[in-house]
Amino acid sequence: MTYQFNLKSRENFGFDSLVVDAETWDTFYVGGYYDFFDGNDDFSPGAVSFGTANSPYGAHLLVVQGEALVDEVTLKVSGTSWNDETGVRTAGDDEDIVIGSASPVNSYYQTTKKWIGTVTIQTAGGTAKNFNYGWCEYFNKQKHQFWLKGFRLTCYGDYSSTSGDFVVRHHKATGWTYNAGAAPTPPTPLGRFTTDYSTENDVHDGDHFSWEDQSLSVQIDGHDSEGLIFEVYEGVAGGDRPYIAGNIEYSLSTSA
Amino acid sequence: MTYRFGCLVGITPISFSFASLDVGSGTNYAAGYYKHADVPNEFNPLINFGTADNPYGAHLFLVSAGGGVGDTVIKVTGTSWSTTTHTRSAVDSENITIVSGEAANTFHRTTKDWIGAVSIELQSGPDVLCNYGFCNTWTNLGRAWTLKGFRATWQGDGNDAGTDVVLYHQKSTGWTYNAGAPADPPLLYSMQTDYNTEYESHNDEFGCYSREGLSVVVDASLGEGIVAALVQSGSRPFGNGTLMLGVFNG
Repeated sequence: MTYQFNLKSRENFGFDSLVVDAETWDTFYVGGYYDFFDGNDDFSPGAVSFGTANSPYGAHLLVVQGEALVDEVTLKVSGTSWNDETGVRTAGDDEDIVIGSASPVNSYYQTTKKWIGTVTIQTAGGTAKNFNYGWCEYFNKQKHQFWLKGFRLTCYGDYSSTSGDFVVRHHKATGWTYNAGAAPTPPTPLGRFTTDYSTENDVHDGDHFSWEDQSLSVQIDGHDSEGLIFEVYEGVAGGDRPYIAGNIEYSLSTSA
Repeated sequence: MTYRFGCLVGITPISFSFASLDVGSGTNYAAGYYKHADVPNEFNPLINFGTADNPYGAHLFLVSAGGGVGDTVIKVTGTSWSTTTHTRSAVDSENITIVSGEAANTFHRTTKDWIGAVSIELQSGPDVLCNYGFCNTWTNLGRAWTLKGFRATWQGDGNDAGTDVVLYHQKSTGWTYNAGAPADPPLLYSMQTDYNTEYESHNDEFGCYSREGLSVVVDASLGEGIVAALVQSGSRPFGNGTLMLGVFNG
């Protein structure tokens, strides 16, 4: 008899298409999320507010550096924090992101703290430079190191979409790209549905579908701010919902 | 001994979300799926199955009405996807052999997974009627495992007197060929059978179907797996559904 579940385990996340009225191309996330500001800011003079008041983001604030620095820059993030290890909410909290003068363009930083509601971001030290910014929340297996050995998507098509896509993202501090006037580009994904299937990637109303890859062995340092995010593109206009009862299942291991 | 999820060392709960189809009647699935052809075929001449460019990622299966005199070879052609090597192969093919005189209800399956439409064609031997379709099942990564229990919960999103929650044990035995209808997969459990009468879904009412104390060996190394079917005869009986399988890796 083999007890393997500590060596290999599964994590499943369910999803359905969004019900929205106005969006033309709907994107959403499963098992975590990114929520980027579509632009950039130098957070000076004065603080920039980000997020909607009282929205329970429970996410880290991230920045991606857009310019070379001339000195050490300190960004102060202020708001209400949530500590998911102690279960403590702290109003009026803050955290400094300190960026050394030698930090190159496209460097990535995030707060160690998670935030709920609106935060303000301000250049509190050094010469102000432009950054992309946003929220990030990701699956990190309770902050443990693990290996992604594979994944399996199953879903039912409830509306035809020839422009949808699914992306498995390794959230980490390297591989980011700053984009002036737009959201940053995250690291190259671990898997992209439309790349793998090339042609047979059209979702049809009334047909089930599946995407599976068990050939991976990717180290995810969940103890060091890394994790997984599953990104879903609906590829249809308006409130049409191509995906019903979707499941993304990660195959995990404690070793390579 | 009672096996309750999370309470017995070695039992891993694996959960899947599910929902109703957005149609009046039909069957949705969790943990995998079947896509059945409505009626059997001899594949002589060639037929196409599936919708072009739909990402099925599933095996093609046949359930024969019984072999003829001499082996029958049926060729499946299409684009394959290897889940283990991460390779898409356009214009791939695989042969299925229905052996001479094999019993009715014999199940066959391609080893390959297919994406997009496939063609199915008799290559040699006598014509044999077969039910056919695609199957994609939860296999626990090809290991032998034991189903110790399951639990489906949902909130009724509409009234439906014909709902059912069905667990199938995908395997090569226990299939039934049906002339003029899809094949019946190997049935494990059915809410309608177990509950007898109290299986209707009602708008805003919660429902649960569970069984514990099971010991169903699923040998995924032989291509076995589990599929759950959510059957509806009316409008959207299942909302916010979650299926949990109690899995013992051994």
